[in-house]
Amino acid sequence: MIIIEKQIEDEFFIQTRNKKTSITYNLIREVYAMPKCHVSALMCRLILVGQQSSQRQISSWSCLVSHPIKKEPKEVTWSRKRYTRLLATKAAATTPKCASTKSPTDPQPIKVLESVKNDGEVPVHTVDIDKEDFVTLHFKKTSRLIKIKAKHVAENTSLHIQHNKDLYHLDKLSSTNISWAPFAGSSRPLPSSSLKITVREPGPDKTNPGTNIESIHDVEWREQKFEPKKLVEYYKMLSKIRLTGLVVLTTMSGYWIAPGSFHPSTFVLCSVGTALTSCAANSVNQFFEVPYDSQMNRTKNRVLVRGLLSPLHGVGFAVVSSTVGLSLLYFGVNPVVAGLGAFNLGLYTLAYTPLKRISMINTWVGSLVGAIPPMMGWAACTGSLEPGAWLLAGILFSWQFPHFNALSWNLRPDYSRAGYRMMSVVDPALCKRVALRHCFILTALCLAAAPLGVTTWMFAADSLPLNMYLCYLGWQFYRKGDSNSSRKLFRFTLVHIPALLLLMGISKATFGSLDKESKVTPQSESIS
Amino acid sequence: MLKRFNICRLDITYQYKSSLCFQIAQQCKYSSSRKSVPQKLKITPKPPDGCTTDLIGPPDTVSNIRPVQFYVPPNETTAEKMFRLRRAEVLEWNQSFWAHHNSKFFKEKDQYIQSHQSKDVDGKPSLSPEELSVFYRSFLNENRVAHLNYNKEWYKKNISMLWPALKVAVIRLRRKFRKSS
Repeated sequence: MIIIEKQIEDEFFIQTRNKKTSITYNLIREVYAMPKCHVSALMCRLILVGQQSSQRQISSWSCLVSHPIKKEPKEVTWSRKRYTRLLATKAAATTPKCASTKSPTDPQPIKVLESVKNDGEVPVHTVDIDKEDFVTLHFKKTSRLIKIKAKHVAENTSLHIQHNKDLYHLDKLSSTNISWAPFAGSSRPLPSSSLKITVREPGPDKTNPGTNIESIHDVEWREQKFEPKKLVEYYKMLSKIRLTGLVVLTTMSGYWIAPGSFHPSTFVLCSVGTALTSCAANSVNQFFEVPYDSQMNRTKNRVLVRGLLSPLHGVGFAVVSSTVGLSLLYFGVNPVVAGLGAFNLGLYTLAYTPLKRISMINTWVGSLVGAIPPMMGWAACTGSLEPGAWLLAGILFSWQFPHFNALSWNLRPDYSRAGYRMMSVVDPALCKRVALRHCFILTALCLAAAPLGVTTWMFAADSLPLNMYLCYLGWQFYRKGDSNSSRKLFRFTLVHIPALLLLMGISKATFGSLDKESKVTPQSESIS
Repeated sequence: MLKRFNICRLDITYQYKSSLCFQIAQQCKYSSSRKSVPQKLKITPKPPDGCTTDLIGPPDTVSNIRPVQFYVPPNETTAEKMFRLRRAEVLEWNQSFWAHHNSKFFKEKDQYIQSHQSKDVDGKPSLSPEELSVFYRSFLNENRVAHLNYNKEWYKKNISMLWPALKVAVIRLRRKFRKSS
């Protein structure tokens, strides 16, 4: 990946409408959040001006251009730090493994592009670019490349030809001509024949994974042989390691928040046991879903779909890890936890997985599955299920709805085709309503934590902003119901739950009095 | 003066299906640009010959099911053969179901878009996600029974193949053990 600094020295100039910094930010966002690179056309020595097609702003450029350009360079810098941050916020994007990465000190210019020098006319050639294709800006002197999607160039930039003082909008994608914009001090339009861009309309439906080629693995034939070296990686994928991590996190916090004394050995055994049970559940789930997973871009790269492991291997892994996990819970922790774990494993694999094709109820069942791990943690600590355990389970249960409903919102085409009876497809209005409803219930449950003696009142106070923002995003999703609001809500839920559990952990009622198990009741009484 | 605005063209033929080859060709071009020798890497979507294991292919463009080319070992036992044929049969069944189902989905979606789209301000046809979601729902409801049957059938087939798979795994393991000892 290429980072550009001091592009002014390359006679390349990216200028903004308002504040230079903010637009640079926007441009970087568009430049770098790209998963793939396809077309490299090139532009050299243009001035790109961030713009929106209004007359007022055009006039503001004229003064911009009339300044000698070299006065302003220092403020326009793109730093690696900012790039990294931006990439991190873009969840779906993958880093392109483009071989164009060159060391910044490399003095040798890239000689890929052949320049055309012509004295008679402005030599502009027709370039066919797909909307989604990438245009690479090539800085000749520093031999660096940046990539922008063609549509972003078209939407956000103008072409200013300094020599003629002409300015061209590139904003109409489907048009064959670049529209000419009147520019201060200029009266002569360039003949349109010399400046031409055609943009193709997007091709086939990319929701079908078979036509959406994203990596080399989507076109190659592969030998199915046993690869011991990659086994750990495959097991991680098979057990959906990130999901398992989240499950274990909720269990750990359940253990921590519970009013019992803290035994490190029990804590570790409980976490490991829960993790293994979760791994088993995810493996069995994938074993059952191979043809369904093949149908969706989100799941098409799972190990069993790609044939990296055989179905038998997956089931074997599930049997072993569930046996080990449940026995750890049974013998190392207590039977209540093991029972909950076994129940949850069954609920997930035997009830939730098939229910996805049978009824809309599946979301509620799935939420129940998500609610049990914190109860397991609680029960591991105290040996039984007090009201606090149910409260914690309730919080996790309610959290699932904004989380999952927002996620499933953008996957409606996929779910419809693959036959999943998800709420977002079957009843979109209900989907939004339920998500919002549970945002409020979640807020109420967090407020109820203190009166129930689970946490101090501090939790009620500091969880409130978090929950209010969740409610706000839930409300936005309910009102608008577009892909943007659902994505925002989904992303926030990912931050929300660890943050909430952390806040709950630091303000638990029995904090600092780990040995006094009876502390719960007096404290709640003293507060009320 | 005009030298300042050299706008050049990179000659690239670009097609959808060959986008990957193209991408690689591009990368090679840049990586090897120091030597200025453009290289091309081609990937053919055909199974390589002479392998002694099963081969799994790229997903089918319509059904998204990955085809498998089964390897027949020279001293194949009946259990192995039964299992291989069974796998091929299930794969074919999956392939035909999803090919039929998906093509139906895209056909009906196209029809729906054709009949429901309205012209927007630019005169371009448009259809909002809300309008499309109506189609998604009706398609899902229409195919409910087909999916239930498929799901039941798939569960049966999938689970019934576990035991033969275990038998074959044991046979292969033994064979490997005998060879090495």
